[in-house]
Amino acid sequence: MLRITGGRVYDPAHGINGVIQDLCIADGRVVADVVGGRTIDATGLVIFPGGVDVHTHVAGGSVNFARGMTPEDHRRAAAFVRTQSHRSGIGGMTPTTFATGYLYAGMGWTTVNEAAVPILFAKHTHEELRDIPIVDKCSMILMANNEILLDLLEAGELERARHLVAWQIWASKAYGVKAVNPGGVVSWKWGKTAVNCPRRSRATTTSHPARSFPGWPASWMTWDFRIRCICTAITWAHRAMSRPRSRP
Amino acid sequence: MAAQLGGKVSCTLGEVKNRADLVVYWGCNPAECHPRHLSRYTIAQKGRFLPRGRKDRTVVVVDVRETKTTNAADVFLQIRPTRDFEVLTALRAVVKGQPVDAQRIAETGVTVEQLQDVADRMKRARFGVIFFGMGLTMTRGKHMNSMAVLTLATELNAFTKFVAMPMRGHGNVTGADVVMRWTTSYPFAVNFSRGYPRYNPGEFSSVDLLVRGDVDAALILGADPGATMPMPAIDQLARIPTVVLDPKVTHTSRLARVHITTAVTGISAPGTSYRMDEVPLTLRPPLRSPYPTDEQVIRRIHQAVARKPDWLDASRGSRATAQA
Repeated sequence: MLRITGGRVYDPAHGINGVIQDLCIADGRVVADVVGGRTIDATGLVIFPGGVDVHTHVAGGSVNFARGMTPEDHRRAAAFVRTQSHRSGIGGMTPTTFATGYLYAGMGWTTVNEAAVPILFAKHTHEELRDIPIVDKCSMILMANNEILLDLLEAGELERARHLVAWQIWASKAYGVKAVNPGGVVSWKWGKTAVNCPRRSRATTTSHPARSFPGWPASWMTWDFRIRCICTAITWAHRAMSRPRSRP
Repeated sequence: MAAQLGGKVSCTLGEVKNRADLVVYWGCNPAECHPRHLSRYTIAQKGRFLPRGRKDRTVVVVDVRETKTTNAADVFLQIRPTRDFEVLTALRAVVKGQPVDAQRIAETGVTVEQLQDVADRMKRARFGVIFFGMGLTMTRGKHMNSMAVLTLATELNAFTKFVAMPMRGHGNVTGADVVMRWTTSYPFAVNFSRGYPRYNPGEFSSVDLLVRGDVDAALILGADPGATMPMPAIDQLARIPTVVLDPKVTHTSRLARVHITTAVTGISAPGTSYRMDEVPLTLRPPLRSPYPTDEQVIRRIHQAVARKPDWLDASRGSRATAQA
């Protein structure tokens, strides 16, 4: 049992906007009142629900590459000295994994979402996430430049594309899908930008199963507009998966 | 380390396999040192955009001597030893169409025409890659050579797609590099003596610590410094209590006080290995081993160390005494 007294409480979900009041917790849940137990004096402090950072880059190949490239930043950054309860680390632009957990927790965050994981680096990303303490972690898999997916879209194999999206989420243990610069990275592999993406979908407007989606504007069904095509297909596949199936 | 000076344009080996129609090897001999590299990713391999395999690729090798790799090359630039930085700098100038001094280029062992030919091939390529090895990175100029080759690749992107990648050896050295970066933010040469990671190659790198005699114990995992380090460093390893974890008898295990035989990772122990393009690979061992894995041994050593009094408390105690 826990009582937090004297803090300024912000809780948008319950319409509490900066009210100074006590907060009581019993068995891990917020309750009206508790008798006895521990009391924390939060006078002069703000109390708010744990923050969820839905879009961050704290782990994975790109972040780790940046770490190795910026020793000058790490030298002037805050050092985390090892203690009985803390692992050592370095802060700065790209903090080490343990420092990342301490920094987020210190700011009141409880959940972070690493938002860009190429599937080849998913295993590495999870290894790093595992080394981030205190906060909960999840990740999203990059798919807008996945060669196998684009092959299927080019061939108009939408059902298989949907299965591929599902398999990649499962295989990478991701929380969802992220589309960044659709078609652009594919082009960059030839040193070009998304404008001259070498990919072109052969699926026609009429064969597009996303037509069956209520509320989608007809203009989204133009497959030859490649960037939109990739986004539409991924969104369609993702929605088709998360849609409840067996309910009447 | 060179990437800290000028950045790095890189890719995965899959992109090399499927796209690279120009492959340059500089100061490395993959035919003998990375025996599966040529067959899996470059010369012998057919790629998605290179359906004819070898016929679709041009291979350029730059080295100081003839090797099995140079025999397989379309173009071989035999340069004089220690002249890599000069050749790279001249090549950067030729690529950009700047005037070069033929006399001074001749001193490096190649001609302006040869450089012009390579520069033209580089600019004509659809996707070019330069692999560079220890012949470049561990000879005169060291990381400045690596920086020059990374800069060349970066500058070639003004003309076509170009990347550069070091040919790393010694098993999972990339994995050690990767883990050090996420735990300490530095790739190597990290010192924990103040309770947080500090980085200074040349001061905290293992060779320098050993040669200066700054370390009085060594734990060596998956490496054979007794075969590769300079003699003064090896002498120090023989002088101090050195503990080696290795499946085999090595030069280092022979001079060590303790050699713990461990299972071979990937053959009889599971784990993750990082490929030289930093892609993590899961290792599924086909065999069992009577020996413990590296991880099991390190965990047991760690448990034993953890039972000792915390060194931070001990150092605080001594500091307080000094102040008094």
